[in-house]
Amino acid sequence: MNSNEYTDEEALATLIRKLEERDTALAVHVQGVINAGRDIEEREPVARGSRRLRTYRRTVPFSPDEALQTAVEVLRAYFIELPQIVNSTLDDFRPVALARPGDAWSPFGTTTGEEDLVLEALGVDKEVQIEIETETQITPRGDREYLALARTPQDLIEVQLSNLARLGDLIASRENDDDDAP
Amino acid sequence: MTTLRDLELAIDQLLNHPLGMGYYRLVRPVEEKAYEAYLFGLCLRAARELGVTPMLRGISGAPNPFIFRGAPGQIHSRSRNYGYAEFSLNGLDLEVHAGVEFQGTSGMTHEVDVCVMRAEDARKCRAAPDDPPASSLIGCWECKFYAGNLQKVLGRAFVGLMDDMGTNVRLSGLCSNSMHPQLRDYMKLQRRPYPHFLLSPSNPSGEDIFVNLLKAELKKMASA
Repeated sequence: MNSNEYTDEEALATLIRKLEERDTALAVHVQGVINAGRDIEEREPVARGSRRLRTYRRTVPFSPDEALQTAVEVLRAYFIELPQIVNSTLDDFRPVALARPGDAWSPFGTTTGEEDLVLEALGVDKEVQIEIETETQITPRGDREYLALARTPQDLIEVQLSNLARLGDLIASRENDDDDAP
Repeated sequence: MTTLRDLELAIDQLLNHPLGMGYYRLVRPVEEKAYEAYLFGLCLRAARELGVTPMLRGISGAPNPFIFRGAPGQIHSRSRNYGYAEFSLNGLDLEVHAGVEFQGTSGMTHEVDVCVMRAEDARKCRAAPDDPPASSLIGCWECKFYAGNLQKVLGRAFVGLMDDMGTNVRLSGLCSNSMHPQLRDYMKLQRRPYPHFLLSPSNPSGEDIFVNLLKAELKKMASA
């Protein structure tokens, strides 16, 4: 029994439309992942009348239901995994010391290999940046030279996880029915 | 019975959340580098679990802020105060770098997303600008953040890169939050890089495998 008023196709079209309204690049990416299809294993007799089977790989399109699940997984990667990845990076930087050159430090090193360094900031958050405009880039110049990695509070991640779960429930609340059978 | 309006509201709630479209647009330009930074952090974790405290360094001074390259670059580049990490294990000095180019055995240079290398070679290449040789590499990892199935070409390309790095590299791996079933088969041959697939903070056992492999190799090298 279908517990939704909409079909999988309508749900997928709605999701893609909503993405396109907000960011064409993300919508195109999601559509590209869906259009790549998936591999299945097919079996056929090795020869006509033979009972022995051979297996071969075939790439097939996703069903609308599978396409929806795939789209949700793409969004999970961006909306959940990325902030978790950034948080983990900052966590791993916290217990590491930051080496500040002392008065006798030289950027060209020393003949003895010994350097005048002061270790500090052990156990505290570090400021970590990723270049957006690289050292060789001359055009175009955007409005951001770098991105500072920022920690995302865990409760924010939990809320977005529940939003994702809610969406997953809504696209999966059709029970298996024979309408989809070939 | 759920309506199309219910579905639309749920989608809006997801996309309008601070970790929705706004976050995506913010981080999208550097998503690959953010994943490299994560692997860099796992290398620091491995060093710490061996009982040493790595130091964060900048090529031109204190790494505050610590800067990751946005594109492959030379280890000796001082155009910005690019960061790296340094630690010593039983007298063996090592460095961790991201996005640095190495010279392969053929003479061609290759970007290594994240690596652990001999500090002595790194210092020489900073003092007298040069690309470090492949022989200075201890471990190197290709890092791919991907929303969707990992592309098979990445595995082939990295195997080719490692082929040009010679036989001295003790550890190598293709790391990604995603995976491809055929890539796992491709990587299972004995001398191929380790497939660290589905590697992310939501997969602690995957992280443990990465960290423990690195720890084991470093301990063996340093007789620790």
